[in-house]
Amino acid sequence: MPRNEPAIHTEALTKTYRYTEQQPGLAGAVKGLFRPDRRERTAVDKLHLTVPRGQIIGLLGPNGAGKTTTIKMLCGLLRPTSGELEVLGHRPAKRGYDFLSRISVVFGQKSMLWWDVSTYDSLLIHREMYAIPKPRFANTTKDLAERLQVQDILNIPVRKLSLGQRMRCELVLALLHGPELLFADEPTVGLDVVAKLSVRTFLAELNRDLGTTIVLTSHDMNDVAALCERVAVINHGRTIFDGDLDALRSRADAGVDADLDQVMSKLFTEAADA
Amino acid sequence: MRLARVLRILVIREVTIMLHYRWWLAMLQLSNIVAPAISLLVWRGAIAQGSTPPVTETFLTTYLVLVSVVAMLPSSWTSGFLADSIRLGGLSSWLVRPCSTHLNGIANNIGEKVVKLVLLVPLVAVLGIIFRTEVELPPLGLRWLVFAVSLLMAGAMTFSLDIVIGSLAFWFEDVTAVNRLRYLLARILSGSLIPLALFPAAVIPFLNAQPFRFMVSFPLEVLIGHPSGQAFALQVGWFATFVGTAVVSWRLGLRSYQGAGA
Repeated sequence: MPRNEPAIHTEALTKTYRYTEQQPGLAGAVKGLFRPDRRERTAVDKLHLTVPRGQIIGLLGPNGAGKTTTIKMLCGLLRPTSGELEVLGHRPAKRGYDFLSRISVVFGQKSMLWWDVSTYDSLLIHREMYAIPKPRFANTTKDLAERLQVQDILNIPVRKLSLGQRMRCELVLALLHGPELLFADEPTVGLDVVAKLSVRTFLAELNRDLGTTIVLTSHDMNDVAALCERVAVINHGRTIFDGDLDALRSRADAGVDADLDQVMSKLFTEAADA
Repeated sequence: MRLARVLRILVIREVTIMLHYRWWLAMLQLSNIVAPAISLLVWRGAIAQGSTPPVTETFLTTYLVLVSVVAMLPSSWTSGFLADSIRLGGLSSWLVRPCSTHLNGIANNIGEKVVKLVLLVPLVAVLGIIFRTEVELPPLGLRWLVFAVSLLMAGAMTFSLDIVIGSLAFWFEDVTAVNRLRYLLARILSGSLIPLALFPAAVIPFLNAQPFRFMVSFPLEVLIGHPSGQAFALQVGWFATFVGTAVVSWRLGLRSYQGAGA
Protein backbone atom coordinates (compact mmCIF):
# COMPACT_ATOMS: atom_id res chain seq x y z
CA MET A 1 0.00 0.00 0.00
CA PRO A 2 1.45 3.44 -0.92
CA ARG A 3 2.54 5.50 2.12
CA ASN A 4 0.16 8.35 1.29
CA GLU A 5 -2.93 6.11 1.25
CA PRO A 6 -4.90 6.25 4.49
CA ALA A 7 -4.87 3.28 6.86
CA ILE A 8 -8.65 3.49 7.17
CA HIS A 9 -11.21 5.04 4.87
CA THR A 10 -14.97 4.80 5.30
CA GLU A 11 -17.79 6.47 3.40
CA ALA A 12 -21.37 6.35 4.66
CA LEU A 13 -20.50 3.21 6.61
CA THR A 14 -23.69 1.77 8.08
CA LYS A 15 -24.52 -1.23 10.22
CA THR A 16 -28.06 -2.22 11.04
CA TYR A 17 -28.94 -4.98 13.49
CA ARG A 18 -32.19 -6.89 13.13
CA TYR A 19 -33.84 -8.18 16.26
CA THR A 20 -37.16 -9.45 17.52
CA GLU A 21 -38.89 -7.60 20.32
CA GLN A 22 -40.99 -9.65 22.70
CA GLN A 23 -43.85 -8.27 24.77
CA PRO A 24 -43.78 -9.16 28.47
CA GLY A 25 -45.52 -12.16 30.02
CA LEU A 26 -46.71 -15.53 28.71
CA ALA A 27 -49.20 -13.93 26.29
CA GLY A 28 -46.38 -11.89 24.77
CA ALA A 29 -44.22 -14.99 24.41
CA VAL A 30 -47.03 -16.93 22.69
CA LYS A 31 -47.84 -13.99 20.43
CA GLY A 32 -44.15 -13.75 19.55
CA LEU A 33 -44.24 -17.33 18.26
CA PHE A 34 -46.85 -16.54 15.63
CA ARG A 35 -46.39 -12.81 14.97
CA PRO A 36 -42.80 -11.92 15.86
CA ASP A 37 -42.29 -8.17 16.21
CA ARG A 38 -39.21 -7.70 14.02
CA ARG A 39 -37.30 -4.44 14.42
CA GLU A 40 -34.15 -2.86 13.13
CA ARG A 41 -31.62 -0.77 15.01
CA THR A 42 -28.99 1.30 13.29
CA ALA A 43 -25.79 0.97 15.31
CA VAL A 44 -23.57 2.88 12.88
CA ASP A 45 -25.20 5.48 10.66
CA LYS A 46 -23.39 6.75 7.53
CA LEU A 47 -20.02 7.09 9.24
CA HIS A 48 -17.32 9.00 7.36
CA LEU A 49 -13.83 8.48 8.70
CA THR A 50 -10.35 8.69 7.24
CA VAL A 51 -7.35 7.75 9.37
CA PRO A 52 -3.87 8.45 7.96
CA ARG A 53 -1.07 5.98 8.55
CA GLY A 54 0.84 6.40 11.80
CA GLN A 55 -1.93 8.21 13.67
CA ILE A 56 -3.38 7.37 17.09
CA ILE A 57 -7.08 8.05 16.95
CA GLY A 58 -9.48 7.68 19.85
CA LEU A 59 -13.01 6.52 19.09
CA LEU A 60 -15.09 7.88 21.93
CA GLY A 61 -18.73 7.74 22.86
CA PRO A 62 -21.17 6.60 25.52
CA ASN A 63 -22.19 2.96 25.89
CA GLY A 64 -24.18 1.83 22.86
CA ALA A 65 -22.92 4.72 20.72
CA GLY A 66 -21.61 2.42 17.99
CA LYS A 67 -17.83 2.51 18.70
CA THR A 68 -17.40 -1.23 19.18
CA THR A 69 -19.59 -2.00 16.16
CA THR A 70 -17.37 0.36 14.14
CA ILE A 71 -14.22 -1.37 15.37
CA LYS A 72 -15.75 -4.77 14.62
CA MET A 73 -16.42 -3.69 11.03
CA LEU A 74 -12.94 -2.19 10.67
CA CYS A 75 -11.24 -5.42 11.72
CA GLY A 76 -13.50 -7.68 9.65
CA LEU A 77 -15.64 -9.21 12.40
CA LEU A 78 -18.86 -7.70 11.10
CA ARG A 79 -20.05 -7.17 7.55
CA PRO A 80 -21.30 -3.61 6.94
CA THR A 81 -24.94 -3.25 5.91
CA SER A 82 -24.02 -0.51 3.43
CA GLY A 83 -21.35 2.06 2.63
CA GLU A 84 -17.71 1.87 1.65
CA LEU A 85 -14.95 0.54 3.86
CA GLU A 86 -11.29 0.08 3.11
CA VAL A 87 -8.62 -0.78 5.67
CA LEU A 88 -4.96 -0.99 4.55
CA GLY A 89 -6.30 -1.22 1.00
CA HIS A 90 -8.48 -4.25 1.80
CA ARG A 91 -12.15 -4.97 2.37
CA PRO A 92 -12.01 -6.29 5.94
CA ALA A 93 -15.10 -8.55 5.73
CA LYS A 94 -13.27 -10.73 3.18
CA ARG A 95 -10.76 -11.53 5.93
CA GLY A 96 -7.92 -12.45 3.58
CA TYR A 97 -4.51 -13.50 4.91
CA ASP A 98 -2.81 -10.33 3.62
CA PHE A 99 -5.25 -8.18 5.57
CA LEU A 100 -5.38 -10.20 8.79
CA SER A 101 -1.59 -10.55 8.97
CA ARG A 102 -1.20 -6.74 8.92
CA ILE A 103 -3.65 -5.88 11.68
CA SER A 104 -4.00 -6.83 15.32
CA VAL A 105 -6.73 -6.53 17.88
CA VAL A 106 -6.58 -6.23 21.65
CA PHE A 107 -9.88 -6.61 23.45
CA GLY A 108 -9.75 -5.46 27.06
CA GLN A 109 -12.59 -7.78 27.94
CA LYS A 110 -11.73 -10.80 25.81
CA SER A 111 -8.46 -12.67 25.95
CA MET A 112 -6.60 -13.61 22.79
CA LEU A 113 -4.19 -15.76 24.79
CA TRP A 114 -4.83 -19.48 25.21
CA TRP A 115 -6.04 -19.89 28.75
CA ASP A 116 -4.61 -23.32 29.65
CA VAL A 117 -1.06 -22.80 28.45
CA SER A 118 1.68 -20.23 29.02
CA THR A 119 2.01 -16.98 27.07
CA TYR A 120 5.12 -18.41 25.43
CA ASP A 121 3.08 -21.35 24.08
CA SER A 122 0.57 -18.85 22.65
CA LEU A 123 3.47 -16.97 21.05
CA LEU A 124 4.66 -20.21 19.42
CA ILE A 125 1.20 -20.70 17.91
CA HIS A 126 1.23 -17.14 16.54
CA ARG A 127 4.74 -17.72 15.15
CA GLU A 128 3.31 -20.45 12.92
CA MET A 129 0.07 -18.60 12.16
CA TYR A 130 1.88 -15.50 10.92
CA ALA A 131 4.82 -17.46 9.45
CA ILE A 132 7.37 -15.50 11.50
CA PRO A 133 10.97 -16.64 10.91
CA LYS A 134 12.63 -18.04 14.06
CA PRO A 135 15.36 -15.36 14.44
CA ARG A 136 12.78 -12.57 14.07
CA PHE A 137 10.49 -14.35 16.52
CA ALA A 138 13.30 -14.59 19.11
CA ASN A 139 14.32 -10.93 18.71
CA THR A 140 10.75 -9.56 18.76
CA THR A 141 9.75 -11.67 21.75
CA LYS A 142 12.82 -10.50 23.69
CA ASP A 143 12.24 -6.86 22.75
CA LEU A 144 8.51 -6.84 23.56
CA ALA A 145 9.02 -8.79 26.79
CA GLU A 146 11.64 -6.28 27.96
CA ARG A 147 9.54 -3.25 27.03
CA LEU A 148 6.49 -4.64 28.80
CA GLN A 149 8.50 -6.20 31.64
CA VAL A 150 7.04 -9.68 31.27
CA GLN A 151 10.27 -11.71 30.89
CA ASP A 152 9.64 -13.55 34.17
CA ILE A 153 6.01 -14.44 33.52
CA LEU A 154 6.09 -15.70 29.92
CA ASN A 155 6.17 -19.35 31.04
CA ILE A 156 3.39 -19.13 33.62
CA PRO A 157 -0.05 -20.51 32.56
CA VAL A 158 -2.21 -17.57 31.52
CA ARG A 159 -5.00 -18.49 33.95
CA LYS A 160 -2.59 -17.84 36.84
CA LEU A 161 -1.69 -14.28 35.77
CA SER A 162 -3.15 -11.14 37.31
CA LEU A 163 -5.24 -8.87 35.05
CA GLY A 164 -2.39 -6.38 34.64
CA GLN A 165 0.12 -9.13 33.83
CA ARG A 166 -2.30 -10.70 31.38
CA MET A 167 -2.94 -7.45 29.54
CA ARG A 168 0.80 -6.88 29.10
CA CYS A 169 1.11 -10.44 27.77
CA GLU A 170 -1.87 -9.78 25.45
CA LEU A 171 0.08 -6.88 23.97
CA VAL A 172 3.16 -9.05 23.41
CA LEU A 173 0.99 -11.57 21.54
CA ALA A 174 -0.85 -8.90 19.56
CA LEU A 175 2.33 -7.20 18.39
CA LEU A 176 4.52 -10.24 17.75
CA HIS A 177 3.90 -10.18 13.98
CA GLY A 178 4.54 -6.43 13.68
CA PRO A 179 1.06 -5.22 12.65
CA GLU A 180 0.74 -1.91 10.82
CA LEU A 181 -2.61 -1.25 12.45
CA LEU A 182 -3.65 -2.01 16.02
CA PHE A 183 -7.22 -1.92 17.27
CA ALA A 184 -7.17 -1.50 21.04
CA ASP A 185 -10.68 -1.87 22.45
CA GLU A 186 -10.58 -0.64 26.07
CA PRO A 187 -7.08 -2.03 26.71
CA THR A 188 -6.85 -0.52 30.20
CA VAL A 189 -10.25 -1.54 31.55
CA GLY A 190 -9.96 -2.91 35.08
CA LEU A 191 -6.23 -2.20 35.38
CA ASP A 192 -4.61 -0.49 38.37
CA VAL A 193 -2.81 2.84 37.88
CA VAL A 194 0.65 1.28 37.51
CA ALA A 195 -0.51 -1.21 34.87
CA LYS A 196 -2.50 1.52 33.06
CA LEU A 197 0.55 3.76 32.89
CA SER A 198 2.68 0.89 31.62
CA VAL A 199 0.20 0.08 28.80
CA ARG A 200 -0.15 3.75 27.83
CA THR A 201 3.60 4.31 27.73
CA PHE A 202 4.07 1.20 25.65
CA LEU A 203 1.40 2.18 23.08
CA ALA A 204 2.92 5.65 22.75
CA GLU A 205 6.40 4.13 22.17
CA LEU A 206 4.99 1.68 19.66
CA ASN A 207 3.47 4.49 17.64
CA ARG A 208 6.59 6.67 17.92
CA ASP A 209 9.20 3.98 17.15
CA LEU A 210 7.40 1.82 14.59
CA GLY A 211 4.78 4.19 13.20
CA THR A 212 1.98 1.75 14.06
CA THR A 213 -1.48 3.20 13.46
CA ILE A 214 -3.60 2.76 16.58
CA VAL A 215 -7.38 2.93 16.88
CA LEU A 216 -8.21 3.21 20.56
CA THR A 217 -11.56 3.00 22.30
CA SER A 218 -11.62 3.80 25.97
CA HIS A 219 -13.90 5.28 28.58
CA ASP A 220 -10.81 6.40 30.47
CA MET A 221 -10.19 9.96 29.32
CA ASN A 222 -6.68 9.87 30.80
CA ASP A 223 -5.82 7.19 28.21
CA VAL A 224 -7.21 9.42 25.50
CA ALA A 225 -5.42 12.55 26.74
CA ALA A 226 -2.11 10.68 27.02
CA LEU A 227 -2.24 8.97 23.63
CA CYS A 228 -4.60 10.44 21.08
CA GLU A 229 -3.64 13.27 18.79
CA ARG A 230 -7.13 13.03 17.32
CA VAL A 231 -10.51 11.93 18.65
CA ALA A 232 -13.70 11.00 16.83
CA VAL A 233 -16.74 11.20 19.06
CA ILE A 234 -19.60 8.92 18.05
CA ASN A 235 -23.16 9.11 19.32
CA HIS A 236 -26.11 7.11 18.00
CA GLY A 237 -23.85 5.78 15.26
CA ARG A 238 -22.93 9.21 13.90
CA THR A 239 -19.77 11.28 14.26
CA ILE A 240 -20.60 14.34 16.32
CA PHE A 241 -17.02 15.55 16.61
CA ASP A 242 -13.74 14.86 14.80
CA GLY A 243 -10.59 16.78 15.74
CA ASP A 244 -7.89 17.19 18.39
CA LEU A 245 -8.39 17.57 22.13
CA ASP A 246 -8.07 21.38 22.09
CA ALA A 247 -10.80 21.60 19.48
CA LEU A 248 -12.90 19.18 21.55
CA ARG A 249 -12.60 21.46 24.59
CA SER A 250 -13.43 24.53 22.47
CA ARG A 251 -16.45 22.75 21.05
CA ALA A 252 -17.74 22.24 24.58
CA ASP A 253 -16.83 25.85 25.53
CA ALA A 254 -14.30 24.56 28.07
CA GLY A 255 -10.82 25.84 28.85
CA VAL A 256 -7.58 24.18 27.74
CA ASP A 257 -7.20 22.51 31.13
CA ALA A 258 -10.84 21.46 31.46
CA ASP A 259 -11.53 17.96 32.71
CA LEU A 260 -12.15 15.72 29.70
CA ASP A 261 -14.84 13.67 31.45
CA GLN A 262 -16.86 16.85 31.96
CA VAL A 263 -16.21 17.93 28.37
CA MET A 264 -17.47 14.60 27.03
CA SER A 265 -20.46 14.61 29.34
CA LYS A 266 -21.43 18.09 28.13
CA LEU A 267 -21.03 17.04 24.51
CA PHE A 268 -23.28 14.01 24.93
CA THR A 269 -25.90 15.98 26.82
CA GLU A 270 -25.98 18.61 24.06
CA ALA A 271 -26.24 15.90 21.41
CA ALA A 272 -29.12 14.26 23.30
CA ASP A 273 -30.96 17.58 23.61
CA ALA A 274 -30.46 18.49 19.96
CA MET B 1 2.44 -25.57 4.34
CA ARG B 2 1.74 -22.74 6.79
CA LEU B 3 -1.59 -24.32 7.74
CA ALA B 4 0.08 -27.72 8.23
CA ARG B 5 2.56 -26.11 10.64
CA VAL B 6 -0.26 -24.33 12.48
CA LEU B 7 -2.20 -27.59 12.69
CA ARG B 8 0.86 -29.38 14.06
CA ILE B 9 1.41 -26.87 16.86
CA LEU B 10 -2.31 -26.71 17.70
CA VAL B 11 -2.41 -30.52 17.97
CA ILE B 12 0.64 -30.44 20.29
CA ARG B 13 -1.14 -27.88 22.47
CA GLU B 14 -4.34 -29.97 22.49
CA VAL B 15 -2.49 -33.16 23.47
CA THR B 16 -0.75 -31.22 26.27
CA ILE B 17 -4.12 -30.05 27.58
CA MET B 18 -5.82 -33.46 27.08
CA LEU B 19 -3.17 -35.15 29.22
CA HIS B 20 -4.53 -33.17 32.17
CA TYR B 21 -7.83 -35.05 31.64
CA ARG B 22 -6.27 -38.52 31.15
CA TRP B 23 -8.28 -40.27 33.90
CA TRP B 24 -11.57 -38.87 32.65
CA LEU B 25 -10.68 -39.95 29.12
CA ALA B 26 -9.64 -43.43 30.36
CA MET B 27 -13.03 -43.91 32.05
CA LEU B 28 -14.74 -42.65 28.89
CA GLN B 29 -12.95 -45.28 26.80
CA LEU B 30 -13.81 -48.00 29.26
CA SER B 31 -17.48 -47.06 28.97
CA ASN B 32 -17.17 -46.94 25.15
CA ILE B 33 -15.99 -50.53 24.98
CA VAL B 34 -18.52 -51.93 27.47
CA ALA B 35 -21.56 -51.62 25.13
CA PRO B 36 -20.05 -53.55 22.16
CA ALA B 37 -18.50 -56.09 24.56
CA ILE B 38 -21.91 -56.80 26.10
CA SER B 39 -23.48 -56.91 22.65
CA LEU B 40 -20.79 -59.39 21.61
CA LEU B 41 -21.53 -61.66 24.56
CA VAL B 42 -25.31 -61.51 23.94
CA TRP B 43 -25.03 -62.30 20.22
CA ARG B 44 -22.53 -65.10 20.70
CA GLY B 45 -24.82 -66.52 23.35
CA ALA B 46 -27.78 -66.29 20.95
CA ILE B 47 -25.79 -68.03 18.20
CA ALA B 48 -24.78 -70.76 20.63
CA GLN B 49 -28.51 -71.24 21.40
CA GLY B 50 -29.22 -71.80 17.71
CA SER B 51 -30.03 -68.29 16.51
CA THR B 52 -28.97 -67.58 12.90
CA PRO B 53 -28.11 -63.90 12.30
CA PRO B 54 -27.89 -62.71 8.69
CA VAL B 55 -24.08 -62.32 8.97
CA THR B 56 -21.38 -64.84 9.85
CA GLU B 57 -20.20 -65.24 13.41
CA THR B 58 -16.72 -64.14 12.31
CA PHE B 59 -18.07 -60.91 10.78
CA LEU B 60 -20.18 -60.20 13.86
CA THR B 61 -17.34 -60.83 16.32
CA THR B 62 -14.75 -58.85 14.34
CA TYR B 63 -17.25 -56.01 13.88
CA LEU B 64 -18.06 -55.75 17.59
CA VAL B 65 -14.43 -56.03 18.64
CA LEU B 66 -13.39 -53.21 16.32
CA VAL B 67 -16.47 -50.97 16.45
CA SER B 68 -15.46 -48.92 19.52
CA VAL B 69 -12.18 -47.79 17.94
CA VAL B 70 -13.68 -47.35 14.44
CA ALA B 71 -16.55 -45.29 15.91
CA MET B 72 -14.14 -43.18 17.96
CA LEU B 73 -11.75 -42.28 15.12
CA PRO B 74 -14.17 -40.32 12.87
CA SER B 75 -16.19 -38.90 15.79
CA SER B 76 -16.26 -35.17 16.51
CA TRP B 77 -17.30 -33.11 19.52
CA THR B 78 -16.94 -29.67 17.99
CA SER B 79 -20.58 -28.56 17.62
CA GLY B 80 -21.11 -27.61 21.27
CA PHE B 81 -17.84 -25.66 21.52
CA LEU B 82 -18.54 -23.94 18.20
CA ALA B 83 -22.09 -22.98 19.22
CA ASP B 84 -20.79 -21.54 22.51
CA SER B 85 -18.10 -19.52 20.76
CA ILE B 86 -20.71 -18.06 18.39
CA ARG B 87 -23.20 -17.30 21.14
CA LEU B 88 -20.70 -15.85 23.63
CA GLY B 89 -18.43 -14.12 21.10
CA GLY B 90 -15.32 -16.26 21.58
CA LEU B 91 -15.30 -16.75 17.82
CA SER B 92 -14.13 -13.14 17.44
CA SER B 93 -10.62 -14.03 18.59
CA TRP B 94 -10.35 -16.48 15.66
CA LEU B 95 -11.93 -14.24 13.05
CA VAL B 96 -9.29 -11.53 13.52
CA ARG B 97 -6.40 -13.97 13.08
CA PRO B 98 -5.21 -15.52 9.81
CA CYS B 99 -6.32 -18.99 10.88
CA SER B 100 -9.73 -20.60 10.66
CA THR B 101 -11.49 -21.61 13.86
CA HIS B 102 -12.18 -24.92 12.09
CA LEU B 103 -8.47 -25.68 11.96
CA ASN B 104 -8.54 -25.36 15.72
CA GLY B 105 -11.57 -27.68 15.79
CA ILE B 106 -9.71 -30.23 13.68
CA ALA B 107 -6.66 -29.96 15.96
CA ASN B 108 -8.88 -30.41 19.01
CA ASN B 109 -10.38 -33.58 17.53
CA ILE B 110 -7.00 -34.98 16.47
CA GLY B 111 -5.47 -34.25 19.88
CA GLU B 112 -8.38 -35.95 21.60
CA LYS B 113 -8.04 -38.98 19.31
CA VAL B 114 -4.30 -39.33 19.94
CA VAL B 115 -4.88 -39.59 23.68
CA LYS B 116 -8.03 -41.72 23.38
CA LEU B 117 -6.31 -44.11 20.98
CA VAL B 118 -3.50 -44.75 23.43
CA LEU B 119 -6.11 -45.60 26.07
CA LEU B 120 -8.55 -47.51 23.86
CA VAL B 121 -6.23 -49.73 21.79
CA PRO B 122 -5.09 -51.87 24.77
CA LEU B 123 -8.75 -52.45 25.75
CA VAL B 124 -9.67 -53.48 22.19
CA ALA B 125 -6.58 -55.69 22.03
CA VAL B 126 -7.69 -57.50 25.18
CA LEU B 127 -11.16 -58.03 23.67
CA GLY B 128 -9.52 -59.24 20.43
CA ILE B 129 -7.32 -61.71 22.31
CA ILE B 130 -10.32 -63.10 24.23
CA PHE B 131 -12.25 -63.74 20.98
CA ARG B 132 -9.20 -64.39 18.79
CA THR B 133 -10.63 -67.57 17.24
CA GLU B 134 -13.49 -65.60 15.65
CA VAL B 135 -11.67 -62.37 14.79
CA GLU B 136 -10.51 -62.20 11.21
CA LEU B 137 -8.70 -59.22 9.71
CA PRO B 138 -7.64 -58.87 6.07
CA PRO B 139 -3.89 -58.87 5.26
CA LEU B 140 -2.25 -55.42 4.94
CA GLY B 141 -2.87 -54.03 1.47
CA LEU B 142 -5.42 -52.29 -0.71
CA ARG B 143 -8.36 -53.09 1.55
CA TRP B 144 -6.74 -51.28 4.49
CA LEU B 145 -6.00 -48.32 2.23
CA VAL B 146 -9.62 -48.09 1.07
CA PHE B 147 -10.69 -48.49 4.72
CA ALA B 148 -8.48 -45.52 5.65
CA VAL B 149 -9.99 -43.40 2.84
CA SER B 150 -13.50 -44.38 3.91
CA LEU B 151 -12.65 -43.54 7.53
CA LEU B 152 -11.27 -40.13 6.54
CA MET B 153 -14.46 -39.37 4.60
CA ALA B 154 -16.47 -40.52 7.63
CA GLY B 155 -14.45 -38.12 9.83
CA ALA B 156 -15.02 -35.27 7.39
CA MET B 157 -18.76 -36.02 7.40
CA THR B 158 -19.08 -35.98 11.20
CA PHE B 159 -16.97 -32.82 11.45
CA SER B 160 -19.05 -31.14 8.73
CA LEU B 161 -22.25 -32.13 10.53
CA ASP B 162 -20.78 -30.57 13.67
CA ILE B 163 -20.15 -27.32 11.79
CA VAL B 164 -23.72 -27.31 10.45
CA ILE B 165 -25.19 -27.89 13.93
CA GLY B 166 -22.79 -25.44 15.59
CA SER B 167 -23.62 -22.83 12.92
CA LEU B 168 -27.28 -22.94 13.96
CA ALA B 169 -26.14 -20.83 16.93
CA PHE B 170 -25.82 -17.91 14.49
CA TRP B 171 -29.62 -17.87 14.36
CA PHE B 172 -30.86 -19.79 17.43
CA GLU B 173 -30.22 -19.31 21.14
CA ASP B 174 -29.64 -22.96 21.99
CA VAL B 175 -28.62 -25.92 19.85
CA THR B 176 -28.27 -28.55 22.59
CA ALA B 177 -31.59 -30.24 21.69
CA VAL B 178 -30.53 -30.57 18.05
CA ASN B 179 -27.18 -31.94 19.20
CA ARG B 180 -28.84 -34.47 21.50
CA LEU B 181 -31.13 -35.68 18.70
CA ARG B 182 -28.16 -35.99 16.34
CA TYR B 183 -26.16 -38.11 18.83
CA LEU B 184 -29.16 -40.35 19.46
CA LEU B 185 -29.77 -40.87 15.73
CA ALA B 186 -26.07 -41.39 15.06
CA ARG B 187 -25.73 -43.97 17.81
CA ILE B 188 -28.58 -46.07 16.40
CA LEU B 189 -28.24 -45.47 12.66
CA SER B 190 -24.44 -45.50 12.36
CA GLY B 191 -24.08 -49.07 13.56
CA SER B 192 -21.95 -48.11 16.54
CA LEU B 193 -24.31 -49.89 18.94
CA ILE B 194 -25.69 -52.74 16.83
CA PRO B 195 -24.46 -53.80 13.36
CA LEU B 196 -26.95 -52.49 10.79
CA ALA B 197 -27.14 -55.95 9.19
CA LEU B 198 -28.94 -57.20 12.32
CA PHE B 199 -31.91 -54.84 11.92
CA PRO B 200 -35.16 -56.21 10.43
CA ALA B 201 -34.95 -56.85 6.68
CA ALA B 202 -37.76 -54.36 5.98
CA VAL B 203 -35.66 -51.39 7.14
CA ILE B 204 -32.34 -52.50 5.61
CA PRO B 205 -32.78 -50.54 2.30
CA PHE B 206 -33.37 -47.35 4.32
CA LEU B 207 -30.45 -48.07 6.68
CA ASN B 208 -28.13 -48.71 3.73
CA ALA B 209 -28.97 -45.39 2.09
CA GLN B 210 -29.01 -43.03 5.11
CA PRO B 211 -25.87 -40.96 5.84
CA PHE B 212 -25.11 -42.16 9.38
CA ARG B 213 -24.21 -45.61 8.00
CA PHE B 214 -21.18 -44.06 6.30
CA MET B 215 -19.86 -42.64 9.57
CA VAL B 216 -19.14 -45.97 11.30
CA SER B 217 -20.66 -49.06 9.71
CA PHE B 218 -19.46 -48.53 6.17
CA PRO B 219 -15.72 -48.21 6.92
CA LEU B 220 -16.01 -51.46 8.91
CA GLU B 221 -17.89 -53.09 6.03
CA VAL B 222 -15.03 -52.04 3.77
CA LEU B 223 -12.52 -53.69 6.09
CA ILE B 224 -14.28 -56.94 6.91
CA GLY B 225 -17.16 -57.19 4.43
CA HIS B 226 -17.79 -56.81 0.72
CA PRO B 227 -19.61 -53.53 0.04
CA SER B 228 -20.63 -52.71 -3.52
CA GLY B 229 -19.18 -49.98 -5.72
CA GLN B 230 -22.58 -48.28 -5.55
CA ALA B 231 -22.15 -47.97 -1.77
CA PHE B 232 -18.78 -46.23 -2.29
CA ALA B 233 -20.44 -43.80 -4.68
CA LEU B 234 -23.11 -43.16 -2.07
CA GLN B 235 -20.48 -42.36 0.56
CA VAL B 236 -18.77 -39.92 -1.81
CA GLY B 237 -22.19 -38.34 -2.49
CA TRP B 238 -23.01 -37.94 1.21
CA PHE B 239 -19.46 -36.68 1.89
CA ALA B 240 -19.85 -33.95 -0.77
CA THR B 241 -23.33 -33.06 0.54
CA PHE B 242 -22.18 -32.73 4.15
CA VAL B 243 -19.05 -30.73 3.34
CA GLY B 244 -21.00 -28.47 0.95
CA THR B 245 -23.77 -27.87 3.51
CA ALA B 246 -21.16 -27.02 6.17
CA VAL B 247 -19.45 -24.49 3.89
CA VAL B 248 -22.75 -22.82 2.94
CA SER B 249 -24.17 -22.72 6.48
CA TRP B 250 -20.90 -21.32 7.87
CA ARG B 251 -20.67 -18.58 5.24
CA LEU B 252 -24.31 -17.62 5.66
CA GLY B 253 -23.95 -17.70 9.44
CA LEU B 254 -20.93 -15.40 9.47
CA ARG B 255 -23.07 -12.72 7.84
CA SER B 256 -25.31 -12.82 10.90
CA TYR B 257 -22.47 -12.88 13.43
CA GLN B 258 -22.67 -10.10 15.99
CA GLY B 259 -19.53 -10.80 18.06
CA ALA B 260 -21.21 -10.57 21.45
CA GLY B 261 -19.21 -9.44 24.44
CA ALA B 262 -16.31 -7.79 22.65
